[in-house]
Amino acid sequence: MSDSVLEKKPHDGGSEHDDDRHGPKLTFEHVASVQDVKFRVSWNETLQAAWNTAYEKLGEDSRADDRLQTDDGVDMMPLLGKTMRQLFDDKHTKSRKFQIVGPTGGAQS
Amino acid sequence: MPVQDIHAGREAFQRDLQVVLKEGTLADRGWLKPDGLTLLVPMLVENAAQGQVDLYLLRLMFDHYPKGPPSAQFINPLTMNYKFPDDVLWVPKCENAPDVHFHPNYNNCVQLICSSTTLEFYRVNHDVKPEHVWDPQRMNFLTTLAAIRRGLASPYYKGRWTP
Repeated sequence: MSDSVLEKKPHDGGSEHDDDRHGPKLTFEHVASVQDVKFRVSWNETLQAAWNTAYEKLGEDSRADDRLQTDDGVDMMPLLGKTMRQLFDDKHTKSRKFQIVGPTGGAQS
Repeated sequence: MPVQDIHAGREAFQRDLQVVLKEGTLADRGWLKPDGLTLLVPMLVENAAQGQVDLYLLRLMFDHYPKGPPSAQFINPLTMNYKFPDDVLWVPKCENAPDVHFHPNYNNCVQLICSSTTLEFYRVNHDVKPEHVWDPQRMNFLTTLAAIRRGLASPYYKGRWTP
C-alpha cells in the first residue's frame, strides 16, 4: 500500500493492541435521531451494559420496543447477555457497529 | 396514503442526507445521488451457502418524503431499471425475517419490499399495525435501510430470485 493511500486510511484513534488491552471500541448509531457515539468497553462487559451506556452518551431515552442490530442487519437481541469476549471470540458477529432501531412491520412471506 | 411533494421531498432528502453523512461524503458510504430525489445504495450480502458475496443495488426515491417513506426498489445495476421477470435475479430472496420480505412481482403488478418503511408498502394497501405506520418524527431513510438490511442477514438471506 502506498504512503498516499496509508495517509488516507481511516483510523479511530485506537489500535488492535489497544483493543487487546482495554477492550473493543464500539459504535452505536441511534437511527431515529441520526446520532452516533463511539466508546471503548471492557472485554468482560455485556452487550446490554454497552447498549445502556450508549443511551446515556447519546442523551436518548430507551424505548421498550427499541431493538439492537449490527450495521449489516444481524439481530443482536438474543445476544444481549453475552460479554464482548463471547461475542467476538465466538464469532457471533464481526461488526463493531450497532444500530438502535424502532419497531417496523412487514410480512414474512 | 402519503401525497407526492417533490419540493418537500428534495429538501428533506438533502437535509437528512447531510445529517447522516456528517463530515463524510457519498463516496465514503459508497452511495450515489444521481439527482435531487434519488439515492443509489449498493448492498453487499454474505451468501454463506455459496461461499460468496452477492451485490444488489437499491434505489431510494424521495418524492413522498418525509411525510411518507422513500420508494425502495432493487434494480438491475446494468440497466438501472427493474423489469419483471428479466431482472428478478437482482432481487434478494429472504425467508422468515420477522418484519420484511422481498417480492419480485407482488400481486402480479409491482416489486414490493414488504416493510412499513417503504412507499410501495402503502401503495399496495398492505395491512399495518398502528405502531408500525411511517412516522416522520422518529423515522427517516436510515430506518428504511436498517429494515431492509435485516432481511439480508443470516439466517434469512437465501440468495437471488431466479427467473
